[in-house]
Amino acid sequence: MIFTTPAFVLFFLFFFLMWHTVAPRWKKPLLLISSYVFYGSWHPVFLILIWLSTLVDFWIGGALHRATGDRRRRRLVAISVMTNLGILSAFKYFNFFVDSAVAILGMLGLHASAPLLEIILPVGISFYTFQTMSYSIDVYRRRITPVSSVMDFAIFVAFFPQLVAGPIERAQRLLPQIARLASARTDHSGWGLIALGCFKKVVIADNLAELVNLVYAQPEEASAPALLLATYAFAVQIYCDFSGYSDIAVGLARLLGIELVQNFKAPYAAIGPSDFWRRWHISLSTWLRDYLYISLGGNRRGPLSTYRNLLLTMLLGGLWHGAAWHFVAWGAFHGLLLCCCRPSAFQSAHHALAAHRFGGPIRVVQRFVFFHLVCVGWIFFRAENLTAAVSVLTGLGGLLQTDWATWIAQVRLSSQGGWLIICTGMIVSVVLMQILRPTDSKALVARLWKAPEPVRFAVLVIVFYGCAVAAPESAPPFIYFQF
Amino acid sequence: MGLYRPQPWRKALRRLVYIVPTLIALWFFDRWVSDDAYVGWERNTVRNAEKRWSARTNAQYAIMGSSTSRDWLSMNELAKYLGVPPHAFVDAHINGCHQGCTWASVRQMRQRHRLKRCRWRGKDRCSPPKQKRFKAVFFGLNLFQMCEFPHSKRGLQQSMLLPTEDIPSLLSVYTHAHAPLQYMGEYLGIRLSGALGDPRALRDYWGQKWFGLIKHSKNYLWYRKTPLPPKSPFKSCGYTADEVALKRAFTEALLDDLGELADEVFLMILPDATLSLTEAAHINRWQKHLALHRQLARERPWVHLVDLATDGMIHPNQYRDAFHLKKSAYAQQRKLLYRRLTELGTHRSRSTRAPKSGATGAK
Repeated sequence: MIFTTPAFVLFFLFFFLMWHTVAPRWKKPLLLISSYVFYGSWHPVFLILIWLSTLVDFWIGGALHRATGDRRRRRLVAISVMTNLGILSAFKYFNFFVDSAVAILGMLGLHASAPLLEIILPVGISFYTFQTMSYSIDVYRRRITPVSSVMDFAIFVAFFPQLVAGPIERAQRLLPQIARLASARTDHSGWGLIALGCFKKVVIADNLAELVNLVYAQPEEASAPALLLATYAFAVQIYCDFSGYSDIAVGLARLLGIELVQNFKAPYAAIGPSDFWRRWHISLSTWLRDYLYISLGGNRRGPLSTYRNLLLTMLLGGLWHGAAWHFVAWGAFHGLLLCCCRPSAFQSAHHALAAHRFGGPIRVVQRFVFFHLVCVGWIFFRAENLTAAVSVLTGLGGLLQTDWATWIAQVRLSSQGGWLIICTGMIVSVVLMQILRPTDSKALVARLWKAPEPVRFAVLVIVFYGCAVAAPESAPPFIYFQF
Repeated sequence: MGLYRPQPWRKALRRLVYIVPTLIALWFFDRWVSDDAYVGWERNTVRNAEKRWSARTNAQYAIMGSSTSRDWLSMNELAKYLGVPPHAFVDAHINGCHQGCTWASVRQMRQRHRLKRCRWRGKDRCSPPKQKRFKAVFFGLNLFQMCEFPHSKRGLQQSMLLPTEDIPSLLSVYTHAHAPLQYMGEYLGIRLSGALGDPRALRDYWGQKWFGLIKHSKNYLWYRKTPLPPKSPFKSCGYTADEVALKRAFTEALLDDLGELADEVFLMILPDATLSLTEAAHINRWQKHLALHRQLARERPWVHLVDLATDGMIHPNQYRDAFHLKKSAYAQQRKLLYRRLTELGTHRSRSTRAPKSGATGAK
């Protein structure tokens, strides 16, 4: 059940009607059952995994709180980490590791064959395992006290607006809100975020997806201008797809009286890699910082160890996105960017430029340059494999020899000319809006919510109607659902 | 003095002051967009078909289904074979009309037939019609049509054809689908606004408007160095129980309702290019397809199975795509139909000879 499909609209309308009808004490059971129905709609068997993860971490949270000895506490937290990572490895990485091992042995001249598991990747497994794991680690670090109600904890793990693609919530933020759920009040500005999210996903991302898929299907056959256009298109597609999902998730949660963390803050307005990761998929980047980078030692053990930690964190961050080498390469690329921009000389030059009296225009140039670096990273992310990514990069090398007049004539000859102009318009608008006037979704909706009620209503009606009309024939799932 | 606080119902009423005009404006805009020839891409096909059958109230024989049921079948020839005048036949096919769409057409025809018999005064205002609408209906079915191929076209066809009173029946058929809520939501959405659909039509429209004449054959030029490889000439259906559950439910509903609409139903199993494939999987699918429809026909005495696949066109060269026959193969297909009808003991013309196939070409 994807948020932008008629199936989800029916499901949510029914759920929302019930939500406002039932007595406050029945709200939590209703939310929990609906979340399981939502998750079970992909495959009911997947529910077993989510129950396993919930029960193990609930039990470990309580046991950690009661335990006094450090050794026992360490053992308990290890069980939580191993259970969650075990589930993740078995379902997501087993085949990848076996395949890679066989390939490496093959390169060494040893021919081995290993059986591969024929399993479907459970939707959102990477998200909820990280969320439950962070709960146990936080209890272990004594940052939070464990929750006493198993229902509250089960809702924390399976809360349907953010279950399949985040934002990855922290227990200290979400659990107290769940505890107060019976008295929570609907925040109607959630409709604004849902409308904005739907617009980003259905109108922009889904329409750009067709262009990207067309070109990236066989990158070695694609012309250089098409590769350039498709790469820009993917940069906008993935932003609108994922931030659109996050906006809808935050909006849905607001309607239930819960405030979720903001996942995006105009990421293409970033002037450097650390700035980018403070704006892109914030809930994951802060998770990786708090539970991986800092656990590895962070920047406390000298520059060399800092670089190692940065690279390792980003490599694992890449691997988290998918069990394939091109995701690892994407992570490595961002790790290298972080390392290159780390030295203090670079940092001070950066700050000096920002403080210059032409700081505004300089920042725009910095954003523009860094956007292109991010686009290089997206090539690794979108390509089917490393070879395809190399084909794209080689193909883009042909841009200098391109006869643009001929290419434009070819566009005019095809039946897709009008569509390409619309796509280019969408790409330019989204990127320019971020580079020139960066605004995040929550701020945009807050501004709309200051307008008079009739204006708000008319805007919502127009946006939802526009989404219904401009939706492509088959709605592709959100990109991050596969992670 | 306390502050003025409006009553909750007054607040709600005040909201209606802007909600109602906004929704009315949207409704007019939606009608305008929905009726546009480009956005309502399949709308005219359905409307034209409706016009065809609603004008021919005296026709006693009908051909239903999609273009694969109709394009090779000459109504004049068939009329001659059955010994009835050509105007006894009505062409009730719709392009791309699978079982669900045909079932919706049948429900509409059934409703019209009932309404024709309704009296405005007196007892038995809507007594059941004494005669069925048709003597016989010919309905053709391809193997690939047994699988779900979701397309907003299907929802549009059903929303245009199905009478409102039959919506619960449609929703109950949808419960057999792979994702029932998806189908239900899409149907209800299209029922609400006909503009739901395919923005590709809009794109083509703007493309033409800005660039003039367009050539689909040159589409690849802007993004590929070489032309696209040809598409596979085969389109099939896996035929597992899950895959065919929805279409089977639609077929059963269709055959049951056709029993109320016509004395006899000829369920034609149409051939396609996959008949040339020799892999066990394909042969197995065809066996399952035939066995299932034999069973459906056996359970319904008014249904006669006309197997046009066995001894049918098996060479891919006889097809212009995966399932549409080439004109050169029409005559052979008709010949096979008359052979099967003779085997079934169907009434023939007084000359007792099958007409010369190919004499009258189908549209």
